[in-house]
Amino acid sequence: MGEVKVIGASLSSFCCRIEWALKLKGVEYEYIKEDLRNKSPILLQYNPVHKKIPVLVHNGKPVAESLVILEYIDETWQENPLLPKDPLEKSTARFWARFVDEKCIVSAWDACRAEEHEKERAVESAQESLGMIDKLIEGKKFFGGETIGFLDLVVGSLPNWLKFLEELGGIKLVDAEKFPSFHEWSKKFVEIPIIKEKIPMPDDLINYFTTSGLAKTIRGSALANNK
Amino acid sequence: MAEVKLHGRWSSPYVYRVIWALKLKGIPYEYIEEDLFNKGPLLLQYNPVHKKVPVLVHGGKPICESMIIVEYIEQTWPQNPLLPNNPYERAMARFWVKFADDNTDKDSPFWLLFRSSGEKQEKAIKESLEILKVVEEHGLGEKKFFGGDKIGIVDIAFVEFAYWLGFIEEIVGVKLLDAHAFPRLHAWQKNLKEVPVIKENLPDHGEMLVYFKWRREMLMASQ
Repeated sequence: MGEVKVIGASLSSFCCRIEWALKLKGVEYEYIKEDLRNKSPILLQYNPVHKKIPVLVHNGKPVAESLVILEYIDETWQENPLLPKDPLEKSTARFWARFVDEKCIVSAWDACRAEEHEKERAVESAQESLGMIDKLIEGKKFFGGETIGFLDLVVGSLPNWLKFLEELGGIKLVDAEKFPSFHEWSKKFVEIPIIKEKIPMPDDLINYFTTSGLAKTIRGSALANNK
Repeated sequence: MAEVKLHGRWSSPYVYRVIWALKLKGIPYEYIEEDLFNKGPLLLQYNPVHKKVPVLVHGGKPICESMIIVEYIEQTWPQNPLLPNNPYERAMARFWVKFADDNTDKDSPFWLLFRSSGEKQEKAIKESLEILKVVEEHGLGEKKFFGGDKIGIVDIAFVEFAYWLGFIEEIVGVKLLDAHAFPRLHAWQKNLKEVPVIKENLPDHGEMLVYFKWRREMLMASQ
């Protein structure tokens, strides 16, 4: 149903959401790898406002912003629906997707980068957000129910990114005891073949950050100090 | 039809996004004013995560976050649609809704300039103008409204530019959405306020001026 391209970067948690969604729906696409340190003219043309990945290009028309792209994919290719049909359930999924992006990811980064005297409070704040996600998945197999859905793809690589941020920042954010339901979900999620095929791994993230020199920008980083 | 209630605050632009959506679709609702310094138990029950307004309660079930509420309203009451039919155009609209949410919220340069002075304010003014430029060039383009000939979800999302920005400008004494610098956006602002549903559903001008003046004085005094 038309030509589909994904402009992305393999370590981006936002990009893998898009690839997973397309694979779940059996949509063939061409993957265009973007070097974020040297942005291509294609990216600047297709996302002039933010100049960021991921960008989905369908029949030459670009769509940007991962959550917007997920909804576009769901409306365009209707097999294996990602979002619930019911308006209230859909609103709830959207609410938690925003929460993951605006609270969980941000607070985890803040905890990683916090100065020594602020670290404890920042970690507590991140754990408070993660605790809500843990509660949300309690008693359920996946966020989408029996099979994965929109929210599973959004939460997606969060466990791996948290492991990476823990190592980068010398902090502890999650463990099986503190967030048992989240831990169980993440074990099941990464075993799904299309997820396993392409998910940012903590070691790759650490490698990228240390070799690119970005780790030095993280204050108090155990990794930066070891360089 | 199940009962619709809206928990809000008279001065909140986010609440008005929901009011406009309800009014444009002719949906009757009961409005409950919340005192944000003394939040009611119902609000805390309906929005335990953020404890904020607006909250829409439909048949006893709460929905939170203004643009998520607007999408809920759109799906539940399809008359006078706020979103286009075509998936690509819907994606374009949702892109700009997100842009509006990310760039006009309380941490945005527009509010930063209201809360600051001196160099910080200068920087915030510069960043605000950049945002207006992007919105005018890439978002609005040559259209009368973001929704085309009629107002749509993106017009609702840019609620801050429609009315609240004017108070920031007046109290701080800086003109941002200037007719010369941003002719199309300026025209949009004027056209939007002439749409009967919008015109009849805006917080009182005089009360807003008093409120904004008071807030600015409080902020400057605490610095």
